[in-house]
Amino acid sequence: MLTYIVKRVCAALMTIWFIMTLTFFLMNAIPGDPFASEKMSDPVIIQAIKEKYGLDKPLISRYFKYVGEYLHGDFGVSFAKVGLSTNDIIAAGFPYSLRIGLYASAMVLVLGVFFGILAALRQNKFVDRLLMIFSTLGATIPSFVFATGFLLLFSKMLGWVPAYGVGNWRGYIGPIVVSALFSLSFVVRLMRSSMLDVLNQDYIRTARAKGLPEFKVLGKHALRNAILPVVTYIGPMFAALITGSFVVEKVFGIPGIGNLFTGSILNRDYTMIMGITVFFAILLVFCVLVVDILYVLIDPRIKYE
Amino acid sequence: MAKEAKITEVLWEPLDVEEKDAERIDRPSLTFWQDGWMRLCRNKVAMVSMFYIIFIALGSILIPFFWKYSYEEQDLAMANLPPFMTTYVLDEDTNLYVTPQYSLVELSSGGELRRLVSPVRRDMVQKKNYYTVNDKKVVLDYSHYSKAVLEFRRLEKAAERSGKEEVDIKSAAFLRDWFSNQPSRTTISLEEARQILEKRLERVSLSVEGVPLTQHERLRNRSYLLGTDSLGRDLFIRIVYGARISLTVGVVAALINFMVGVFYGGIAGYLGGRIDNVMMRIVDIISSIPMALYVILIMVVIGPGLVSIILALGLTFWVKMARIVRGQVLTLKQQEFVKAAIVVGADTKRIMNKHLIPNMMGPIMVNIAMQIPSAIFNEAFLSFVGLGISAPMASWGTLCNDALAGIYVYPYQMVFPAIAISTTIFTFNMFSDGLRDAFDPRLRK
Amino acid sequence: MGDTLLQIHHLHTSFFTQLGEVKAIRDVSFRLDKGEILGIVGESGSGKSVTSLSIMKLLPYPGKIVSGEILLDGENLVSKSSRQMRRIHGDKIAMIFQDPMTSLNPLFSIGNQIVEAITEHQRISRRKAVEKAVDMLRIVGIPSPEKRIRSFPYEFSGGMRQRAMIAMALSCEPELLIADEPTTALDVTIQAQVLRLIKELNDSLGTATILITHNLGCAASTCDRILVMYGGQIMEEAPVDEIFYDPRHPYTMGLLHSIPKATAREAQERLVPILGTPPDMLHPPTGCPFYPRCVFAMKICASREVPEFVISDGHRAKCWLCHPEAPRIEKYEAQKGGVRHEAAKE
Repeated sequence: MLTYIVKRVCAALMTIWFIMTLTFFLMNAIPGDPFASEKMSDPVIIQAIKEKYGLDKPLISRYFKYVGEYLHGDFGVSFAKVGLSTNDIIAAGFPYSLRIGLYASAMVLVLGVFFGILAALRQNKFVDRLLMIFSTLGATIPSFVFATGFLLLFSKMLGWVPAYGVGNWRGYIGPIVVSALFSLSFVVRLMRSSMLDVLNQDYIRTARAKGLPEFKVLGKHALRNAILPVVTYIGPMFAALITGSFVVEKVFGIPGIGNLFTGSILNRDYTMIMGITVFFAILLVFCVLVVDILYVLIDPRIKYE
Repeated sequence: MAKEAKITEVLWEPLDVEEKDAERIDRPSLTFWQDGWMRLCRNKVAMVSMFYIIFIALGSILIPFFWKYSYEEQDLAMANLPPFMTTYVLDEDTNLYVTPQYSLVELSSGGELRRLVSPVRRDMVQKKNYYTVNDKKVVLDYSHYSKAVLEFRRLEKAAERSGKEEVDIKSAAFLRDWFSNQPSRTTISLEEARQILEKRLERVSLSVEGVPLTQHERLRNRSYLLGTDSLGRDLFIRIVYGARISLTVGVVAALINFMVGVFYGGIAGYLGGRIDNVMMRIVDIISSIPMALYVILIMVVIGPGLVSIILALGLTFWVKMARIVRGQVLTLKQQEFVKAAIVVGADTKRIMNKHLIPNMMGPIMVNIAMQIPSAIFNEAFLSFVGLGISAPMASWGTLCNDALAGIYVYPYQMVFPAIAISTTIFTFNMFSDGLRDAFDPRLRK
Repeated sequence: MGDTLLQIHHLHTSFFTQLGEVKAIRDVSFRLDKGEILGIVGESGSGKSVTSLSIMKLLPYPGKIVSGEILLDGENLVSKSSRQMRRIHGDKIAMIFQDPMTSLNPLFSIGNQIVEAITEHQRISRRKAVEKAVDMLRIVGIPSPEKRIRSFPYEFSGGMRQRAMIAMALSCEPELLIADEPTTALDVTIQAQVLRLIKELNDSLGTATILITHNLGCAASTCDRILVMYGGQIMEEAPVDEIFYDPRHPYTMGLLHSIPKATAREAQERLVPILGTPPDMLHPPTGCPFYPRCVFAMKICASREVPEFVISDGHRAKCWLCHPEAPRIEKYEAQKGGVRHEAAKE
């Protein structure tokens, strides 16, 4: 068990390192730099700036400097927002995305598992068909449609939520619900199909043949087996939710990191891009790690392989 | 036994062979495709979806040929006009429409737009515009609203200072007028005052030769089916063009996914062992990089535009297809008939083509069908974000993006592209679900 | 033996599918005494599993018992609710299934699953239940049961898993054990071990057993009486010796001739498969279900429902050949070198 965890942690670190490296080289392979669009065309000034940011040094030495800084937790300084360090910018934006992501994840977990099981137990009946239609809608319609529709309906027409920003606590409702929708739809379907698979298994028949009450058959035997695929999905989903969606943040006016990321891509702000990418990678790897360990706690067969 | 008929001699004779065989029920066997097609046809939802998709595809190809507008024609005077307008009746063949920016548009009484009326005089202080329409003097008065807004602001500040939620009706003119026929009411909550201000109050008033126009008529915009966007372009034809783009992107991206995925996955699965492991590791790493980065890279190298979007989409989602194909190949490799073929001495290529691929077609086909809406979704998403195709080309995503700024004032600019996207993706998904149920019932969930 | 434990009277079970009513069991009646081992033999689709699932009332959707009685100790199970059945499951009737790998929940330890069964039906402390579970594992021959109780199903071999299943089934000392093809998924050598275990347990614990199998040889070594089923009906019922030395139904005879024999002389006989395929239970044939494949089929076989004929005490067969007016036949023998068989008429 311990060896398994250690192995996974090492693999996680390797992955992070790899992503860092890959991102670095990719970024430097792109022609054009943040100053290409700047009005100052005086080569002397550009040269001075490049020296300041160390952009004139050869690639390899920059790479090592970069790795070194990151190991110390220093993600560099933003190009676009001059003077601010990447760390600070991320720290300012992350709490919003985090809060939304946490509530959204909770919503997905609780509602998703509940409705998934409900749909499985009432297979092909009205409740099931209704849930399936809703989950298809939730999974296929782009989030910006939902986001703008939500605003139009609840803000413009009903006035229940503010039009912009999260000053008022009600401003969180929209982003949380819209962020959760896609994953919720997915989890409902996943839970349903997983539950249906499990209910057809022989060991459920054995449990009934032993005379166990139905709630034990479902709650103990069926649930633990059925929840496994959902557990696997939760890891990356959680990481994705807390890192924020650009669409949701843009439409609802949330100063989170989803916004920052796409913004920095559009601005060619290298250090921001790399900093945020590595940050995302660390989050993702961490979430997957936690989920993997959780999985092993539930399913003893994994160690066996 | 007493009730039964007597057993005659003849019954003890042996049964003829034909009579025995009569019991055999032969069901005609169908080929995989026939069987699947039959099942698909029985699925009503899938059939409806299929016809809708065909309808959209045909429409997107044919409509631009005979539509009066092109997707890039601009008419700034006619900008931001909705498909349904609440107009004032001026005389028997002229109606007037007041835009949210307080401009005046003249229409025929049937709903055809004639022109944007330039004011003869603008009085910024009094907040009135003077026009001449059909030799009549028309005055547009928007002072009422602006005054009300100022009054409301004052009310707000006062409430803040005093900490009370209620405000005095007498202290604001617009509230006095509103409640003029309810003398009993003296106070009102701030929130309710806001509601009156924003939702109920008439923003403008029009008068002709001094007489206020009161007759309203709701007209359909007969010049532009779905209205115009911020640059005066016909929204309908832009949506149709958007259909072209989205469908093209969807299909081509899905095809690229298919080819790359099948190729890569097939090889990984067939060769197996270490090579497979390495290939799958590479796949894992590639898929952990956010798609946005890929898009940027490709766009920078090739330049923004349709081709780069298609390439970017095609090259990021082949991973799923590759995994499926690899899984299938691995499973099938173990199957008996493949081992039999190997024993007989068939070579690799033959095995791939004759044995493996026909058996994998089911899941592959379903996956392609699911990739198309996914590609459309992603294209819309990217365009919305700003990483998509550039103006003046219209894709549904860019239309939504353009509409975002003015969404509160001109919601129709967002609603119609959103409906287009949603229905298309939804029907594609319904159709691909139907395909999956018909051709790969094992996956029925 | 002792008095009657289980009586089935005219049981009809069908599956109501989209394509129609599949009549899986038609008019099945038999009796089981306390402490007996009864074998139900038949091919796939004969209705043998459906019979056992009907007794347990664990029929999968869309199966339903259409009519008939199932009397356990005099009580009719057909009319009982699921809650009432749950008290019977595991406690009075226990069942083990064909594939022990999939029949045990892979995520819980063997001990957990056995203790669960015990505590469900008996009011004893958890510690005592665990002791009992360890005992049961020992009885079925699993080595180091105190350690093994914490193992997971995937850690056991196939034979051991089936033993664990048996331990779990017998842990509440049921009156009846139904074993649905318990050895089909196991190696031949392990099969023999498990069958021997079942017989030993029957001797020591006195649990009546219904052993369902498609393998007449398995049934022969273990059972006291055998029921031969085909097409949803019982073709022949007899004590085990009589089935082998005096079969009266052509299907039974056919089964006997398809068994590979061990001795040298018998090995010279050709294996004779029964030609044809099982009937379509959606449209069952009129008359005897076996006539399309029966070498001796007569016109009456296709037109009239066959009644049961009593051959001797405890031996009955459902075949028109047993009718006093039926043509007498020579013993059914395989001709050397030939696969054709002729019925000799009187």
